[in-house]
Amino acid sequence: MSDDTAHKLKVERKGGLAGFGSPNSRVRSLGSVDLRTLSTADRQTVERMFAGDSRSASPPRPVRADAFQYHLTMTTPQGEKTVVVPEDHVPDAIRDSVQDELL
Amino acid sequence: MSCTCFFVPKSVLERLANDKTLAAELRRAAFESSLLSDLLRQSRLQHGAFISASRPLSAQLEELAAQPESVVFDANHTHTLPGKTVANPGSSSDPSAKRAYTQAARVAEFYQTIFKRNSVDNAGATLVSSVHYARNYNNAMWNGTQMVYGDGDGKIFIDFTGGNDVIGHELTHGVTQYTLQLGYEDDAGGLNESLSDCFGSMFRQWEAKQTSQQADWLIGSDIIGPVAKERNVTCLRNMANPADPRTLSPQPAKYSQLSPGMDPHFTSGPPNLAFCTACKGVPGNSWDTVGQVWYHVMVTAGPKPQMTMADFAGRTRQAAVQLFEAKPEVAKSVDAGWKLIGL
Repeated sequence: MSDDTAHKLKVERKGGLAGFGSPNSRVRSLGSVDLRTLSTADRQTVERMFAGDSRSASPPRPVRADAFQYHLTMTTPQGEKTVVVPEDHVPDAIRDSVQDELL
Repeated sequence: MSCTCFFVPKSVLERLANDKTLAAELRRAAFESSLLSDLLRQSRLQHGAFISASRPLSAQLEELAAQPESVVFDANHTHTLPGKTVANPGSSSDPSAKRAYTQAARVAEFYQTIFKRNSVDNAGATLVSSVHYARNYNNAMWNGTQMVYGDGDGKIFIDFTGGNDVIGHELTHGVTQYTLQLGYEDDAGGLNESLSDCFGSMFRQWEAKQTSQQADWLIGSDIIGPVAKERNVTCLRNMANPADPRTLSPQPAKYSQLSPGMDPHFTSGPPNLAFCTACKGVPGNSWDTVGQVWYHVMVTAGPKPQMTMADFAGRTRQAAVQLFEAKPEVAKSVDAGWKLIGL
């Protein structure tokens, strides 16, 4: 695993009123962040998100109708690990990394 | 109501709090977070209980506040809510603020005139809207207490306040929160989204004075941006044809195509089609007949966070017979709608 891969956070934004990322959806929202470029506080937030066990990877139940969910994926020596986080828990630097794309 | 919406489970927080290999500061933070989890959970349970307990009183409260107030805030392209108060939004020079104000008031008028409902809680709750949320934000949402609108990126989407069905959709999430209290996963999630599409579309038809036969049954056609239009995207969803390839996110049309874990904006396709089919089968306005049936189930079934689509279908069949005894075509059409999607 290269150093760059180890520090790369892959980001996908799903849901919302338009159902981003649904099967057959013509719109998707992807991005990536180099963890080394985040502030200490944001990096710690990300670490806490991934600190849980495998249950953290289960989609949480959003309580905010039509809000986005962020699927954050990190490559670890054990393979890729993904956590799903409501948009209001995601640091701005990560939220701002995604680009909406029409397929 | 089930309360499992934390992204770090309480058991993990407790384990971290007791892990002596971690720094004291981190252990203390984990401990405090676990306490907060409990408090938030209790708060939500109390909120649900309060909503349930207040329902019998709502008829009396309705007289205290006959028309809900509508207020608008400007988030000024930040993530901070609600933002700065917009003074006199009804005459604001900001078209987004003016639309959010005017259309929220019109949705309230629709609910009051057609369904005798006073605001989202049927007790005159103030309708709160924030416009200009974040930058290039391609979304609108109901966050549990208020409506939030993005400006769109100007390419795929334009200003989300531009769609009166969008505003009706978001406000209906509030109505659902105070009635069925539907969850946001599986059947209940799909129903939750479908109800917002149904009432959002009905509101749009009511404003345009369209019968069910005249309506286009498209959701979000007014917020599609120029780049998406160039690529033949006409709307977010088509209630009359969920699989329409010109929609931004084509949906399934049969209940059998749904499976657990799917996005509620995907699984709303079959119940949307059932509603649209039922409405189109009865000559006249959707809100006069089938809309009344759907609303009756929303306000009489009680809190059903895990409601299945089959349960909702059964209740609408029963309500159609009860409410329209002298108009059997309504029950027949409701039945045909559900049968079309396999329920």
